[in-house]
Amino acid sequence: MSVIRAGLQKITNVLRNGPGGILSRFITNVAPVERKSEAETTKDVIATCNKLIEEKPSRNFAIVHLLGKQWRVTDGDLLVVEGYWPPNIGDEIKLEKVLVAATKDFSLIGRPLVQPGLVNVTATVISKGLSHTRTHFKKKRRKQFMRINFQRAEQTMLRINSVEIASKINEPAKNVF
Amino acid sequence: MSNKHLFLNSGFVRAPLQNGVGRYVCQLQRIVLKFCKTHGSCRGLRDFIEQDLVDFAKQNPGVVVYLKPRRHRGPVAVAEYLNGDRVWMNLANKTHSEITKWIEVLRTQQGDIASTRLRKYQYTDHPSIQGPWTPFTFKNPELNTAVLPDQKFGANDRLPMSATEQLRLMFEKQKLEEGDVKTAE
Amino acid sequence: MSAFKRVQQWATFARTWHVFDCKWQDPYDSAQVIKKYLMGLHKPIYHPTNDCGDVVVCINSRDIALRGDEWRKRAYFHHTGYPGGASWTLAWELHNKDPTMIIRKAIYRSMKGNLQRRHTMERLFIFPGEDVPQDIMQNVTNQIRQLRLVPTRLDHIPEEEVQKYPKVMDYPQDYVLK
Repeated sequence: MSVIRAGLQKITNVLRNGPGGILSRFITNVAPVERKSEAETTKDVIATCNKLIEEKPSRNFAIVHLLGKQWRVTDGDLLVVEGYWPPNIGDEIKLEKVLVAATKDFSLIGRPLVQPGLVNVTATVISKGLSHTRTHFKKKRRKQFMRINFQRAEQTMLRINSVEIASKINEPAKNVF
Repeated sequence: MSNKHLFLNSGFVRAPLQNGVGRYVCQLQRIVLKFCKTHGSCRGLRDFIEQDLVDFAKQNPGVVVYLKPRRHRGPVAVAEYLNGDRVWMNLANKTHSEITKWIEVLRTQQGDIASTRLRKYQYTDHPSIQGPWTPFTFKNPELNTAVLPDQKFGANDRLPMSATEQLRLMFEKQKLEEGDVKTAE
Repeated sequence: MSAFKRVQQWATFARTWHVFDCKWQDPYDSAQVIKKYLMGLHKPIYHPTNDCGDVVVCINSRDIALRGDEWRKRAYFHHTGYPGGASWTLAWELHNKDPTMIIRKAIYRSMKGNLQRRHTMERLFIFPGEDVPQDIMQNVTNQIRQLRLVPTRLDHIPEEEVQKYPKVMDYPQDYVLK
């Protein structure tokens, strides 16, 4: 482990002036700690996050709740949800139940949902069909018991079009409904 | 000789030609309804053709509909999709409403999706955005310089407060309030 | 695979070395914790088919604590395979013979008996005392927290601290101390 750490340290030193990338977490900033009151720190953090939202330096992702399951989605993802669901092909829908929205540098965690209107997750329904035939075969040995059932579930395929953090953090919630 | 056709193929979620990224394109291109004018098993399909087919064709201008009457053969629908898939479906003895539903399924699906078992229900080009986990993620940075074993990192710090500790805290509080308290001396 | 991704792979699947202090710990409870680190169950990347188990170094195994009168009551069974080859060793006898054996057996028995178990056990080091070879100790980067608090004996606390300790009550004048 120490050998690997030493190796990583060397690579980190080489990359310190670069973008950092995956190794950014190994770089420890040993800058002196500034003593600030808690309220000021909160303000600073929120200001930094708002700046990042405006500049969009990285891709966003969100965790959305959809038909009883949680999905981690980002732009261009494909999802397949199973079971009866009314939206039809070509429909553009907005996923409202956002549990977490995040970029590379910060995460907004909902309690349990992020406030409505803050995050925009839009998707297009691209296919609705039936799954392959699933065979449910049960047999008990020496008990003259055998059942076979066939089942096909409805499958809806979704394309995630955008995951956007729409407004700034700490702005009063707009009534979206 | 291969026996690939014996088993269900498995695959991953895919959409042809980035469908839905810019705009959505209906994947069904052509549907052929084959039926017999006299056969009893074609009754439902004939009803569908008489009552609903014109509406279906009007509502879906992108879909080419062919009718193929043939004598003394069962009713069949063949759907052809943009990605080249061809789905053959037997409609013998199906009622009008059942056929309406099955043709709706053929229209809305994006190809022969029932022929593959999905291994994953999600596809993403970006599996990690905040960076994959490593053993150093969320670790206390003090561990980097600590000389282990150290009781600071080894002792259980989640135990409920002991009676001794509670007593000591009460004592400290009392000392602040009163100033002079008895000790064991 | 790009060079960057390769380094990422090494970082994610790097084996971490942990140290665990067995002093005053119940070996059977500790085994449930140590087993998780040995098998890699504490990692978010865990999967039964990927090799992500860590290395654990147990120290002070001579100072383990068994519950109640288990030192006298718990017996370890061994059979040589020959007729009449059965033998039962009490925990205190086993501990006198080999102070690492009780914790080793506890961890071995806490895991499922599959083909992987013996390979997982290879990643476990047990030392009866605190002396660990330098080539092992230099790899250690993490410490597993103990389950129980190590008690302090009254005669090991310095005299000044005992004197400073708050007094709850005074003995009555006529109370006879033994």
